[in-house]
Amino acid sequence: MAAGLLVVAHKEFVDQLTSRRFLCIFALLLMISALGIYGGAEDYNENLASYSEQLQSADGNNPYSGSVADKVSPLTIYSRMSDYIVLFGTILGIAMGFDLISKEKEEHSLKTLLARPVFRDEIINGKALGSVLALAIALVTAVAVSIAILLFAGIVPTLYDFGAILIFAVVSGIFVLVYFSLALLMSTIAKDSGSALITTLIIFVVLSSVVPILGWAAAEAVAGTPPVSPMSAATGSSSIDVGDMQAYQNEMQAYWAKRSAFSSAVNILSPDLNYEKMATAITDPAQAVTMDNNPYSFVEGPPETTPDLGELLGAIWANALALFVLPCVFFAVAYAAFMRTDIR
Amino acid sequence: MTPILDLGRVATITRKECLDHLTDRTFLLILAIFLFLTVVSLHLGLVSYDAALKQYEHSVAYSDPAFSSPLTDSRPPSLLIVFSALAESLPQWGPLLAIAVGFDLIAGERSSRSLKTLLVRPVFRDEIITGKALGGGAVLALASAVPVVLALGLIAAAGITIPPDDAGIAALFCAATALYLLAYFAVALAFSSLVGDGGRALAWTMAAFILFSILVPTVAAYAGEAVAGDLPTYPSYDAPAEEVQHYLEAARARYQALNGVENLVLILSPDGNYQAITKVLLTDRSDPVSGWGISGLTDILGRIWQNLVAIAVFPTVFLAIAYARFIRIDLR
Repeated sequence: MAAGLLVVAHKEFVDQLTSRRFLCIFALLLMISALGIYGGAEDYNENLASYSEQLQSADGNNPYSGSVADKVSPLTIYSRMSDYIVLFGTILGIAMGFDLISKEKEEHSLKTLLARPVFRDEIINGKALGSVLALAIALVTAVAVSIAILLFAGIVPTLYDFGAILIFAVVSGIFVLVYFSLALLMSTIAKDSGSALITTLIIFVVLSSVVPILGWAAAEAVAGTPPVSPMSAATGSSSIDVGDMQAYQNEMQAYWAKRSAFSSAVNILSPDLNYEKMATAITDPAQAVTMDNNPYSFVEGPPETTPDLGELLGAIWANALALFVLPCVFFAVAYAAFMRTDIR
Repeated sequence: MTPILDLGRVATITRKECLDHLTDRTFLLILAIFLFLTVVSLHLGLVSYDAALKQYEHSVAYSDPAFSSPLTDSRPPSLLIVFSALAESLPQWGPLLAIAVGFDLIAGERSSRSLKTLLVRPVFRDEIITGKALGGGAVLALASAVPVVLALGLIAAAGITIPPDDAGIAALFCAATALYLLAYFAVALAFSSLVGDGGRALAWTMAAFILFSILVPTVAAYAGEAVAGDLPTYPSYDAPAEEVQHYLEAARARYQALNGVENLVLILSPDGNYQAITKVLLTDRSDPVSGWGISGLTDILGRIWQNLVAIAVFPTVFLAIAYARFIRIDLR
């Protein structure tokens, strides 16, 4: 079993790494993220300079010494990189997967391939494995280049930072796998590469644009009418009771908590939002434990202490699970469909 | 002598293409998503118009005429707010519709071998490609008119009178959207006749889309920064008046250089042009700062004509490539 699998995986790996399409998108990703990291490193050094300036000027008598900015972490630089990965990672994943099966069908090479002593499951597993390895190499290169730029700019990440960057790379890889496996699935079930690609793009738009909007609208409908402010109810110059105002504030907070919980639940369907949430958890943990789509998150700001791992996982476990489950489901369906495809 | 282009035959192909698109499942699916997102954007626009109107009524009711100033006086909100959410979000999904309409037009007929059968009939090659381009263009014009008509209908239904200038701007907005969609349709059609199969045509079109919608704007921003150079150092608060004046002049010159270079590069990108056009079109003309000096439709046209020409030239170039290539294609 393993021999056929390895042969297909090896061939697919070499094919991907030498394909012009893969190399072009990879070069773009590398260039853009290097530029982003470079800009981020400059900002970081500026922030660090102003931080140490504040530290020096802060003496015991200064009443503002308590408001010295937090020490900046080099990890924040990676939040920029996650923006580029959302864009180019999606394109990379789709470009790698959309014609893996359909092209072989179009060129009639699948029949020839199946005439050889190799099982069908070895073909699809090998194709997926080879592509995953190529993808892993691409991401490891991108992250290595980013670390090199950081070191070049004089920023030395701590061991903790290194661990976080590694997790960031793995999470980014899983995100790209979502769209790769979706493209592979469409490549298996669509009649040709063109319709495989267009269907993948449609689902991509649905997952990345329609789902968040739908979540927002559905949450608005589910949460019901917001409480009425005593300000607008009061007419003219009549004074507003402080107790009323407090009650209104509490009701409003409860309303938004309910509403944002619902839209977050819908947004679990969107891999883009899940990935962004996880990237935030890595680059800015305090920000990740605040509620999304809730205006009070902006008003109150993130908690002052950095949340510990348990707290962080408690806030993002659903996103992590959804991000991981989606490629598994897509691949499983692609596998099942490929096993039963009628090839003529 | 036979006419160069038989309009009857072109019309036959245009009609067939239109019907094909309008009954194609993929197209209808994308159109459904397109309409859904459009309606949501219009809804957001109407909500913000409503909020602005309420605020205006509130401030008029409580304002003190003794303290009137053009800066603080509230103005009735512009109706055009309704389109601003749409103008911002349409570039995210509109091109997909345009590309879906165009990428398979020639490549699909080639891979299913129906192109040969079609050319056996008494129809010229240029009539085929003209008819196909017209059919796709008509469908996209329809798609870009729907949101505008829908919005104007909703506004009229809400009992708000639409000033004639705003109606003209809405028509210009519709035209700009149609040209923007046509730009990516033309790219897709060009690759469809350049490349043999639909899959590769679509992949190339997506690559071009990324080039024009992401890379060109990024390059434009970097080029602007590079040419304009660093911002002059901010004068200290006790600096003499000449120094402050000097700083202001330098900062203005830098800003102008930055904008000039950026716009020059952005002319290449349909997205850059579309953004520039919609920004001017949807500016609130009663605003004392950003809307200052924009008087009527002719003035607006004067400000955006360069972008309008650029966004019209872009599809023309790609349609010409598609045409020239299709006329000489070797079909077997």
